[in-house]
Amino acid sequence: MKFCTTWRVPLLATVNLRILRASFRDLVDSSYLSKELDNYTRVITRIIDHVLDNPSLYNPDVLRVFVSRMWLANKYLSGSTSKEVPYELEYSLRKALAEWTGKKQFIITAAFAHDLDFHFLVVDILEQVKKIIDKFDYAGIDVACIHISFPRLYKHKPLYNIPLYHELGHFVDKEWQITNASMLTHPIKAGEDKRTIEHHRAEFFADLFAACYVGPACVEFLKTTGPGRRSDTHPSTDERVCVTNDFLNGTPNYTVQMFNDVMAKRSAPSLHPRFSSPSLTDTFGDIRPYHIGGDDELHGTFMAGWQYLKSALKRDALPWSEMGEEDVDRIINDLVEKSIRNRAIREQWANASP
Amino acid sequence: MLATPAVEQNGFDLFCLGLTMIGRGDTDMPAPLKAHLVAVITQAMTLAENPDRIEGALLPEAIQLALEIRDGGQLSAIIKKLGSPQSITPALANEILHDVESSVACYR
Repeated sequence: MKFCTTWRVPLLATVNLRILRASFRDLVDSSYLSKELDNYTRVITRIIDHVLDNPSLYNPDVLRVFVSRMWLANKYLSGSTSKEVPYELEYSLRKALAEWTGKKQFIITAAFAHDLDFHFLVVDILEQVKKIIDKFDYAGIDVACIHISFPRLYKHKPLYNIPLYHELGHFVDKEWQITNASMLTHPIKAGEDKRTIEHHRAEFFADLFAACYVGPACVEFLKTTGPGRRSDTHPSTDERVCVTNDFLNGTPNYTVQMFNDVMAKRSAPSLHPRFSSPSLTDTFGDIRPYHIGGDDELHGTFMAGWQYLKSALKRDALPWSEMGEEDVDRIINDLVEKSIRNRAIREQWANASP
Repeated sequence: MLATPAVEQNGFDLFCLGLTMIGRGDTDMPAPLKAHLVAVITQAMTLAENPDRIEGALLPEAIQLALEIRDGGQLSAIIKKLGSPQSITPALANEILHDVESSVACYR
């Protein structure tokens, strides 16, 4: 299908943009957006205003791409209100991100999936819009975005959102162009399919990135939610577990070494563990949040929390032996959430100006 | 993505949009899109020549194109005909687009 043969009616573009603008305005009016997201949404709305006021300035194909990006922006704001966003998870992801993005500040927009779908959108919508809607004045607008999607039903289940560390790995990969660059520096072998190897390397990298922060917990998730067999888009789960375990055990591994070589050439941080595993037994056993220390313990709390949950679900010791599985699961996820929130509040307090 | 295919909004559609507009002879291509197109092709040509020079800012589309050029297929021959990425002709834009569409997905 050629680019210009479909959907070129500007009327449809303007109708869609009006519908989308109304939706963005509703979001802004809801007052449940953070200040950063509120600003971002207002910018998006202003760009739509500009296009609707000046549709003749833009080629119909440009308008069509712009509308598609606005639909995406709308989708990835659906889970971003303060009523919905899993604050504790976002806080933890931001901590992991800081080392990889330096001073560049990102806002995270989130979409809710209605199935077991974690993913990360590999483009920054606003960055793309700037390339096509060029008559709008972007002065003073310097927002970089990360767009994530996770299952709605997990919004208060931080331990089940551990795969988002893997998704953040895809973001970091894109920021630093690690997998792509590896295709140049470490070419595929004869007979291998370029796209398949590229996909597989991207998955290996995201697994390794997650392992840097949540350690063996990401292997556990791989074993339970990984697709199993090798496909065009994913290595087999066995291969992924093997590479990740080699990394965690310090066993020499070609894939790990390849990434670290490329990252050194790109002046990126290296792959190495950045977590320490706290003992949650005393506090969680008393149904109290854990006092999280440094960032390494923050990330390690996901791994330790996961291990603790698995153990508590056996319900062979107090207090868990007197509860149903559903309560055990809810309370332990709640304790992890509160432990992280307390840590965030303490940090804000310490950083507050007198 | 842990288990399901990634959302493939990889930005290549902007590159394809630029090529389409040049190929059609459109005169209203946004300047930043033109600059992006030129940057992608320029960097792709450099990387195809020197694949180990991966320092600094890299455009993902440029790497994809460089890999296609290094494969030595049709795109390699088309790029050789290209004097300067700044002055890409409609005919060459269509040739590149045709090749890119068949080798690298231009998501619509």
